[in-house]
Amino acid sequence: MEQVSSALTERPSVKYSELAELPPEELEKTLKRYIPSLMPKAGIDYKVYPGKRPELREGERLVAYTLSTCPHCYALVTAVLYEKEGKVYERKFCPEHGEFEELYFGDYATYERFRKWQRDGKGVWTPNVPLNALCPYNCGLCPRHKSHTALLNIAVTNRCELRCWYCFFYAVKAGYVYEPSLNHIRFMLREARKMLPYPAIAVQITGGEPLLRDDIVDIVRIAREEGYHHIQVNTEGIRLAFDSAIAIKLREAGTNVVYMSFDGVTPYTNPKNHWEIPYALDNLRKAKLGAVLVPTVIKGYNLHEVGAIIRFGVKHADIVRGVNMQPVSIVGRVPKKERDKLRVTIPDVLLEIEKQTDGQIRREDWYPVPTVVPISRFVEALRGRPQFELTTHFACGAATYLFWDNGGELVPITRFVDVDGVMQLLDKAAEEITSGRNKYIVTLSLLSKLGRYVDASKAPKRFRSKRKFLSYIFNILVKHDYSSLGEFHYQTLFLGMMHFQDPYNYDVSRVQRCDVHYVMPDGRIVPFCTFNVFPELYRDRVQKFFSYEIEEWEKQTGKKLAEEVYVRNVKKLMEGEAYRRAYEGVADVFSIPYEEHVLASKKFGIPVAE
Amino acid sequence: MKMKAFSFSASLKEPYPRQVTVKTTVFAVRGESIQRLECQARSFSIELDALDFDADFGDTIQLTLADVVRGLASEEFKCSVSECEGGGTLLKVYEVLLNGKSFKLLSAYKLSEGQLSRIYADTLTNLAPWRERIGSVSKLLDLSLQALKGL
Repeated sequence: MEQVSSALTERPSVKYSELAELPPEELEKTLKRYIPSLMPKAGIDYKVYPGKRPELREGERLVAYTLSTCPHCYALVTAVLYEKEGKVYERKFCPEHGEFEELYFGDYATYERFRKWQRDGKGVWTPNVPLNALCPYNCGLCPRHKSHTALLNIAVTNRCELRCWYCFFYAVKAGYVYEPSLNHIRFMLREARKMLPYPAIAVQITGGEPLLRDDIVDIVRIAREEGYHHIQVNTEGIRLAFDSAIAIKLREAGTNVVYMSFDGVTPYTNPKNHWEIPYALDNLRKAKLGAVLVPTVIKGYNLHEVGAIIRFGVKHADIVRGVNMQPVSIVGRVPKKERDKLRVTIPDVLLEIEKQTDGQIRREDWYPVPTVVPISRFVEALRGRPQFELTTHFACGAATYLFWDNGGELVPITRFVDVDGVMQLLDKAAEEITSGRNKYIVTLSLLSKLGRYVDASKAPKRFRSKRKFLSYIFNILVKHDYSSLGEFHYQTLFLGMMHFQDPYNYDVSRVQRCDVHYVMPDGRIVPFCTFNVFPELYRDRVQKFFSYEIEEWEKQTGKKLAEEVYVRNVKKLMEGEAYRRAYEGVADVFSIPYEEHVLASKKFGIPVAE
Repeated sequence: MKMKAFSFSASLKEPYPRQVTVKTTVFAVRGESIQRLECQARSFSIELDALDFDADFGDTIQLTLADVVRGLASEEFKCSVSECEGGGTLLKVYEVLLNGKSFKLLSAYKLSEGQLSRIYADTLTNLAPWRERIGSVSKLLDLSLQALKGL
């Protein structure tokens, strides 16, 4: 984007090393002054063409119109969502770059089932920026945003030891080092804690590769000090595989869970960390630190392994708390033909899971994220103050909980809990309390009815006590004892799905409801799908602004960026007992010739020590 | 200073059903009292009015232009825009009918650095009792409480 590049050069610049050690209070005053100059500029960074509505064509049925953006120039345009042959598509037209058409949701019936659960949040009562531009060019958060932060991301470095072929984000490629100081990180975390009606309580420390920072444990500790209840570290797991002490230190500092990339069960589908994952899991076991496996799902690449990924999660359920799949977000300019080879949406993955688990996990077992809002609304009615609620758009994510029998049968929670019934009951109870009925009487009535919605005879054996199950619900809803939630998690596998947007399927209606946010170095809080979908306007612009030049960073730290390259010893990793044990019964990894293992790693961009 | 005021009705289907009607009246603050402004009405234009629409309703009633566009499969959005010429301190009163429930919301604006800046706004998701709200507005605008009681 030439326009963006010229705009960048006109912006004031800072010498980050002079800011880095300012105390958080001083940083607040200083950094916020830069916000106006860093905001996207109309006419320079984007244009607005919302007037023209795309026409429907033969065989297409209107679902909705929505605002979207041109994948090439980021102009705001109107898009049509239409149903054709049971799927939902998005089509839009940019006067400068023409027409774009994309699969939006792979099953219309699921779209309609999910849509029924949509609830909006209470908005953000403490916006960080005034409303000066249309959405999505005014992020910060602005007064029109509908959801509070459910998960805050904080990027603590753009360094990475991997050189994945598709990535342009890491320091060597970017040409600068973004690595905020500890004071700066504290300032950013504090900003998100100021949010009303509900402050951020969950944070994901991400990068780059955050474990490359020598002070990563201090960062976790700072997050805990600033009041975050849930802290997760997002990593590719390489360091965890070779350094058992780091897992223990992370847990002791307050990390709740590690989010680990895991794209498949073979070297072909997961060349990023296939060989290291077994060792990382063992080290996490020693540290008693749980992991969530995070596969990016791509058609024609690893879609055929989603069932095996879940079985891998169940096999390691003593330490794996969840599997959170992310249908691919297609970034950069990719021609339609190529996109069609890669594109999957949530319903497509759900269908594959159903097929690959022989119907043990069906599409109907999944619910969209806002399904759980009635729980928050009920607790809010009881306690009389706003609660944490997941009011993201219904098309953004889905989840279920998985139980299993010793015989290996997978049993989703929906087989023995009537989720629709429970949520309706909670909704009704919340409504009764807010309209003035005695909350104790309503709660007693609710608890007396809850049992009707649980059929313990259909639960896995170790869960066949209805009393045990109901005690979890009672402790969570009434006693607000969230250790019950933790105990529940230890006995189940959380299955999640989060489809982050890309320029081709963009939907402003979704981003206004986003509850997965990034805090930026100037203190703005930005939805995931503006931060990463428009990097020139948000992520890259701001990180570059508050970065070190590579030479300066190398001089300060005595490190050489180019030397931070992971070289994999495939042979040694394959010889370890942990490797054999990890995949046994899930994938026959030893039937793949060693040379193929090596080739998979090299093709991905990770060199091999031979 | 010019001020836009939107009066509209919308029947929205997506992503969930909402029936909403809003009538906006603009008052100028004159001393301790308020005076209703006469305004010129015209039809709504996305190009001209989208940002002001979001600024008025994005937080107060949680309705944005994106919501309107998204919900518009049924084509039921009737909106008139009134352009009101007034003084340096203005009060907007929104009469809102949302899914059968009616609300009255206030927002207040003052001239600051040559622009009208919003200094107060009620929001549906955090609505204090009416008496409390008019008390806050009367203090902010140096108005007599009596002037607001008749709204």
